[in-house]
Amino acid sequence: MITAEQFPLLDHISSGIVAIDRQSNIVLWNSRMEQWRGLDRAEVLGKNLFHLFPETDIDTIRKRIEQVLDGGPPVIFSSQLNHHLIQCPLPNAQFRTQMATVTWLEQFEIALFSIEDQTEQHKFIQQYKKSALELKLQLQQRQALETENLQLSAAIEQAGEAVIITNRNGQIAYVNKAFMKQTGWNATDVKSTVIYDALFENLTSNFPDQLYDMLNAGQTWQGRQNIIRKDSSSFPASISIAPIANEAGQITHHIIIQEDISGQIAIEEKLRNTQKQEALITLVGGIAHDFNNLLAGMVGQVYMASREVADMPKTAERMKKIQGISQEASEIVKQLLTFARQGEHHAKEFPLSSYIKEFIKLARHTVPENIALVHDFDSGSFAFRGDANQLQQAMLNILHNAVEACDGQQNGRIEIGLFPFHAAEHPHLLQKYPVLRHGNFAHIQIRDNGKGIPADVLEKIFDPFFSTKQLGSGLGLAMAMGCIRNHHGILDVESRPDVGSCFHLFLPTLMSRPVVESNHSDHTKDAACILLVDDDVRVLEPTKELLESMGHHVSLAKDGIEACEVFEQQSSAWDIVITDMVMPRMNGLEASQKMRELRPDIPVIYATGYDPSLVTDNTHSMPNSKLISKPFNPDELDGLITEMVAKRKG
Amino acid sequence: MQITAEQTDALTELVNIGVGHAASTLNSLIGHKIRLVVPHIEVVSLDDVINNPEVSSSNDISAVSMGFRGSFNGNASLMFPIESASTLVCVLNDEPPESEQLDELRSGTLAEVGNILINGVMGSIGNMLAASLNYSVPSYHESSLADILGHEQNEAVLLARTNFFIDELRIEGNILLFFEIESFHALINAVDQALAA
Repeated sequence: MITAEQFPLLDHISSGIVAIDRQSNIVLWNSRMEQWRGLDRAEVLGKNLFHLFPETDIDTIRKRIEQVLDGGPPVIFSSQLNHHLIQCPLPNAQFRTQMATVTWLEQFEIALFSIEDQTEQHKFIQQYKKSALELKLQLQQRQALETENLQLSAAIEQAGEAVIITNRNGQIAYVNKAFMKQTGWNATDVKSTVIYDALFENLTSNFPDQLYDMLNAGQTWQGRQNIIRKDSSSFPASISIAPIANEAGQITHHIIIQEDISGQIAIEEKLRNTQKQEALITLVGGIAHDFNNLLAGMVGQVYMASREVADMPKTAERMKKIQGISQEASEIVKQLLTFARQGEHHAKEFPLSSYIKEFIKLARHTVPENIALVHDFDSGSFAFRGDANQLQQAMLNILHNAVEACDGQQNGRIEIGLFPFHAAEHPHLLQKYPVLRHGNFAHIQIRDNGKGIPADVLEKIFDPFFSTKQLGSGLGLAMAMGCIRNHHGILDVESRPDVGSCFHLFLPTLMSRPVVESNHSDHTKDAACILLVDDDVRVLEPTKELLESMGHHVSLAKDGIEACEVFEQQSSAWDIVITDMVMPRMNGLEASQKMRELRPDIPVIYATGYDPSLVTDNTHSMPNSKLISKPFNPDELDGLITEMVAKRKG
Repeated sequence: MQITAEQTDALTELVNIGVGHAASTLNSLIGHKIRLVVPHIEVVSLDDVINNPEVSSSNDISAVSMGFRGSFNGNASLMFPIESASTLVCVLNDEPPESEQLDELRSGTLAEVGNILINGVMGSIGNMLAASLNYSVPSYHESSLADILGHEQNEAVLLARTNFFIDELRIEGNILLFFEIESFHALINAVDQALAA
């Protein structure tokens, strides 16, 4: 039997020492264990370990201790896997962390427990783990912040709008790629430059003060401002300037976001021009329509008067001159109506290739001999549907302009060309006129080497009544523009002072097919029973007299409803109806449709200057219908009546 | 030094039983299946062991060793590549894999695990051979195999080596039993007696 007194040294070491005999009774308990466990040796010795300390009486521990008691190898109970072997309470009510080794000492027939206190180490490990975890979290947060910063700076660097950061005095600290692209300045060029002095054009002297007042009050400044590029040119920009404050709320920097709005301004300008054009078209169309009606009345009266004064040669001569002057007035009105897209539109199919050759012949009479007229045609027929006369007038107007531009020039030269339009070769035109992307277009070009058109004049040349010539009507190019638009085409011009101008006509061509010219046959004249409908008595009366003078029988109606009533009374008696298109109560088209319910074969002549799209669309689809514009050419009208009536009668 | 095929077989079975016992203990500790390779028994010099790529690598290893003396003398070791040791410590301490470890934490945990496994092997062998053995207190090292095995590397030893794998955790390790040549006869006799019994 061994006793503690045999091993006094054990009371002077830092480890806890316990020994048990084969029966698991405690035989050694050193002073360190007394201190740790708070039990005196006397209270412990001779007691069974597993009974006294039930924490050791669990399977995994007890079995391993018993293996040692059987002479087996030593066992280790680490603090990591067991925390402690024998509970030794600390002041904080937790237990000391222990690492225990149990070894069999054969000589003494005891199992010796050497228990090392690892509380401090354990605490250190826990603290280390906690710190490591905190560090890891901080690292993750920092990485996330760095990623976010990188994304933000990449976003600013690659943003579509220019971004500039300045200090609070407006000195540039940073500019992004878009800024460099917009202005041509690079970052070092403008570093530390005061942006408002160097880059803002025509600033008022108190602008920076006003701006700083706003920014210091935490407000954002927004507005338009011209920005000076490196090459000294400038562009309009939409600008927003905001203050950047630090965590203490002090403003340290300004951020400026600058968007180039020159494209937007150009679109706004184009829109304004379009609106102006539309207003002009409405105004011109209205005046021309009224004037047309007056002319119609006048021509009729003059025609009648000239017949009545057949025996007064001088008066008849004057009447003829009045007729001539009326005809000229009517030509001006026609041009106005073409500009306003309200004129008579005689569309037919024809090849532009032979058409343009004929036009060259005509042009030779117009262009003086001292100006060279050359042409350049591509092969191909360029089938086209349109009003040949109107197109000819439009091209002549452009040609006149070219001739005048070359007046007084040495080696004046006008080139007329016809080519296919290849969209892919003209990206700038596609951008300007997206409609050119769709369908096939012929490209007619009229180029001169004359004095050219100054830029400020160029934008107005298609306005009606705009003329730089003292005696110019200002209608020529306006009519040309109206005509080309009427044909769903594009009229464009480029010009450089002292170099010359070039007018481009892009006309939509048809799919290739043979163009058939219509043949007119003569018909014998016969008296016709005519129902004449018009709401304007100034037209109605003279036209009645005109028709009667031609030998026809005429009845009148003042609008569509009255016309239908008159027609119904004796529907089979009428040979032809001549009706105005636009009338109160019921228009000409509706009236004629009603009449055709009774007499489907009744020929109808629509007389109008209004709304050709409505008229042409519906009248083309109707058989035995014709459209003429007011004022009438008396002979033309008579011929038409005779032809249509004869056709019906077969 | 010769060892008969029958003796080799007997020793192989003996070690296999011991290691099997140890493996089931480890299995209950970590809850993952342990795959054992049949033990390899050979007479070699420690140099050969150090140069054997299946045991050693250029990197440091984690090892728990325990000497024994008595009926026969030798040393039992459990060895892991450092990565496997770290993974095992994480699993046993319920920590996420790849977490930072202190040496203190690793040495304490691995010392106990090694102790359990080696005791399983040695307890089983000792019982079967009815051997009387004294054991040293297990020690933990992280070093090269040459440093762990000590200086007398030309010495011939009987080596019983068992390779084991915990596939789910990608852990591999070796249990090595070295028997000193002087006590070889005592061991063989004990084996022969066990066979006769």
